[in-house]
Amino acid sequence: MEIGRDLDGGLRAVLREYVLSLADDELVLGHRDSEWCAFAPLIEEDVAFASIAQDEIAHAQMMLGMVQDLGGPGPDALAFGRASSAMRNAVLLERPNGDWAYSLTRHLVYDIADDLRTEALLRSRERSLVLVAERMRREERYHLEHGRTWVRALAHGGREALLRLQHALDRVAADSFDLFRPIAWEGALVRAGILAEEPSRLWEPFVARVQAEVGPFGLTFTPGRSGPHGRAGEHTPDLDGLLRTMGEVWRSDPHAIW
Amino acid sequence: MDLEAFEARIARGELIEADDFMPDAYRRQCLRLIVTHANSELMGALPEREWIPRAPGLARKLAVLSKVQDEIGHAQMIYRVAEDLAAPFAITRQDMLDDLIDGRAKFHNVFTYPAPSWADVGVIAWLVDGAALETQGALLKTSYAPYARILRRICAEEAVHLKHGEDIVLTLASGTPAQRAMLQDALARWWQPLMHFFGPPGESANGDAFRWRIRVATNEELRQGFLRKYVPKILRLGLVIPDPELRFDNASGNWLYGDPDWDEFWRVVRGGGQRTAERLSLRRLSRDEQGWVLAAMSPENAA
Repeated sequence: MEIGRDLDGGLRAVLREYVLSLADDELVLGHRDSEWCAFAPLIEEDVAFASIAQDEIAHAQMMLGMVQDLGGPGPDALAFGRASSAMRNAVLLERPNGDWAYSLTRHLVYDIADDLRTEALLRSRERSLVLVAERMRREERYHLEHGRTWVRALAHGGREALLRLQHALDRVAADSFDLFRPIAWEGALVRAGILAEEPSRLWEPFVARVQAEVGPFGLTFTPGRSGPHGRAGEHTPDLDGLLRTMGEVWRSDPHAIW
Repeated sequence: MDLEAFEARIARGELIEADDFMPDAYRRQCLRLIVTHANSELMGALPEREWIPRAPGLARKLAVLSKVQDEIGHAQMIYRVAEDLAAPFAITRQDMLDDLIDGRAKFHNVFTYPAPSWADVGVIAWLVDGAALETQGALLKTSYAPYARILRRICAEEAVHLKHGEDIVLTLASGTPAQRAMLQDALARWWQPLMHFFGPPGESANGDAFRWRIRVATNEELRQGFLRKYVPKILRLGLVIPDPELRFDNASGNWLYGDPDWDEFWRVVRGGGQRTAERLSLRRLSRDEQGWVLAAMSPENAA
């Protein structure tokens, strides 16, 4: 079902911007996840991260198809052909993987954000967004459980692991506001019934859920309402590097079939 | 007495289970073969892993990820079979991984070569996996039952990898002149490693490994099976195989080929592969950097 068929041009443009932000989050995190494959501390986790990466990249592929329907080039051109200033992912997701504690903590925090976000999408009047949210929720459930299991295990794994977890949480907190920062166009999407509520309203429930998740281990999550603004295309050199690598072959001949 | 009964079972075509009696020499030979296979699946994932971040197109990225996931999953399953065999020697999976990472263990010589272009990903998945399927397909008849069972699943997945590789190769072969050239270069690079894949000809088929049916096909039988299947397909794509002496001999029904430089083969087998050090260092770096994770998971450290 084609997205936004009965919307006017202005609404289609803001809806496109919104779906692009969801797709880019999944694409960039999926790419980072794939970097763990064959580098993880356990063979089982090489396999797990390869699987999670496939889920995220497949979600991105699906949503970039919706972006195409809303106007523009196809999923591959969107994924491989844009400059970092045209990327709409939260900066949190472009940070390098760091250590195992950072990667797992980032994943858990993002998966909680994603859980809230896709739950809200179930109440959209855009049928295609509901379908995509349903599909994502079926798979993200396992990512959430994976992150939760690891954070719990590391939190019980002695002093070094606990210190690394808190350090990771602090770094993740510094980038978190980007996930739910109020954006000029979100009101228009709510008024049109495409979103049930402004995504920025999920900020407080999000912070509360992360705190409830990590609090029992004596860990704290204290993000401020500041930090980078990836949704506006303000990114770090880390994303430039990621895009350069990702597009290396595709950009060598964007018109060829690969 | 026990050995006689064991050999009689083998002679009757029976399969040996993990908790059956087996001579130590049989156990050691199986273990060496199986650990080398597990190591090879793990190391075999690394050349393609280098291309996951650079795969051109989302569908290709998903496919390469899925293939690498399969290979590492194979390693995981095969190490489990090896662990059962190794239990009487008190050798664990971590010991096997440490041996691999520290350069004390063998893995297949084909995985020591560089994969410098996207076309290498196609050639590896099509032809290297094709060669591996030849070997593993023959091993389905091995006498050690747990290994044979796991190989059935592995072969089914390898057959999918072949299709994935063939699809990349066909796409490049019917693509731009630059894509075709990239493919031809990759084939030229991989041909000698592919000829080396099965090992040198002329090894004795009378040793214990054959008598106990741990192995069932000779190096040359496997190589001829591979050449019969793939040489015609490669030539149909209009690619050039870099061996002027390669020709089909009607009298013997075999492919005749020029000397693929067996000295180079022995050099690589003794640990002199081009990328051996670099690839092992990736796993070593992972172990060193993430070692604290295993420590945190160990019962002593758990609070």
